[in-house]
Amino acid sequence: MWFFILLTTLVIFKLISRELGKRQVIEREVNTGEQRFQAVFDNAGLGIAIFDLAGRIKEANPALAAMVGYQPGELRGTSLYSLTYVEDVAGEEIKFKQALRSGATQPYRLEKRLVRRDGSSFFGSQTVSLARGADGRITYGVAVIEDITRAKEIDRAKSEFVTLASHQLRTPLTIVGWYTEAILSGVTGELNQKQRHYFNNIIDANKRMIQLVSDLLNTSRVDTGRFIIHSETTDVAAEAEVVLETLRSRIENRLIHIEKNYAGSLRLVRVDRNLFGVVLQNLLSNAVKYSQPNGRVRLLLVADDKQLTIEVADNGLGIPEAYRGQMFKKFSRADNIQELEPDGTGLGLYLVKSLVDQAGGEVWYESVEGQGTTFHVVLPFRSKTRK
Amino acid sequence: MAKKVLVVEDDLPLTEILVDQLKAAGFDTLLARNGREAVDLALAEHPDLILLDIIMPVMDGLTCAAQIRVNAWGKDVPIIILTNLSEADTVSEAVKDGVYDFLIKADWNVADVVAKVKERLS
Repeated sequence: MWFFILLTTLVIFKLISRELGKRQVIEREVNTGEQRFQAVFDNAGLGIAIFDLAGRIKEANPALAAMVGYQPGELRGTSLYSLTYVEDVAGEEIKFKQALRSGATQPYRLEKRLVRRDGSSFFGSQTVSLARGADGRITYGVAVIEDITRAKEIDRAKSEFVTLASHQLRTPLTIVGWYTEAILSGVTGELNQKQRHYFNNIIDANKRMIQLVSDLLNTSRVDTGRFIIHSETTDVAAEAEVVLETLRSRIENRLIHIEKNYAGSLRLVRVDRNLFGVVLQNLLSNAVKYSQPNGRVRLLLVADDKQLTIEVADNGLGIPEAYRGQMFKKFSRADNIQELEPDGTGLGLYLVKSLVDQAGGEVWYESVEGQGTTFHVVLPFRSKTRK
Repeated sequence: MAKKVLVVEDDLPLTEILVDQLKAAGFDTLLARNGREAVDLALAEHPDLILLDIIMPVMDGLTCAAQIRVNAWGKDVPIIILTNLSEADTVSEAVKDGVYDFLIKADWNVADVVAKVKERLS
């Protein structure tokens, strides 16, 4: 009997101590985990804030506090938005609300200006993730903030450099063009045929260089995300005339016949005027360039209530099968073109595709080698401007 | 009486051919090498039209134009911006409001500029 009680006591004792042992292990692991987290939080080089659904900061790490000129404990309980430059608050709130509504916990990123305690401001990149509690509902957010002042400065310097460089390059090109055109127009006296021909060659080369500078400038803008789309009410028929005018001498020299096919109300189209101009300029100049003498280029413009459709069709060289997949890549030029005109940049279609993509549209083509090519572009209308 | 055109441009060869062709078209011309000179000359001489470059030393074209526009006489004088900056770089609200005309030098020739001047002054 005693033995039985002793045995039971021993078993119970063993069970309890095993459970205690397990609990100790779990507690130790939790402590280690917590310590690790704390180490990350305290020592991270980026600012981190944990905030509730009302935007109140529950915890802010030392890096964030230092960024905005506060002591680490001081940010607890303040609103995350109080650290944001007043004009950027609305945008930040909207993004947060959108994320809450969609229920997604995927992180989203935004750029905003932050304000320090002393009133100075700086640009920051903020990545926000939403976290779910044990009951599955979103209970708080984690914001990781990086000071991007340096990156912005570099960006601005790059942008200013490209702008200034293209301006500096265009000045001597303008001089060559203006003087040569003036001489050709006869204001300095009659020219003989040879002089006329030579000067025409100079003008052609000059125009190619001007086009190259424009292409490089636009490509740089597109690549660095600085081609900002502003939709405005545009008379696209008039814009098309402007583009055709810049191609007039090339069209006349090659005896190209231009057919225009316009439909819909083309005077009040909501597109980015600059984008439309660059796209049309590239498609039309390609069509003219790769046409045979006496060829025909057809321009179709149709506007309905949803979108603008552009079609540029030539009956020229066509695109060889081998190049079909490459046409929209940078610096890609098909062999049959290289022979005809060695000096194209190969940037035109890359630009067209990048711009059309950015505008939310589509571009594609059909082509038969030796028979011609048709390019199609669809640009949807937007009611608000967007970056 | 011949109309007066104020040419504001810091590049010498461009200025020379512009002035030549404007004179050949029957205009009188005034010349300024930067925005500061342009403001002074415009307010003193009251030209009928101003051809304005943007990138210039001392004072740029847009600042110059703004100063001219603030003046009572300068409110309405036709200003044609002649620049090699692309439109995206220089378009400001004022330009969009149609306050100025806008030509990119590299895309046109002198005859076109003169034609535009004639058009604005007729």
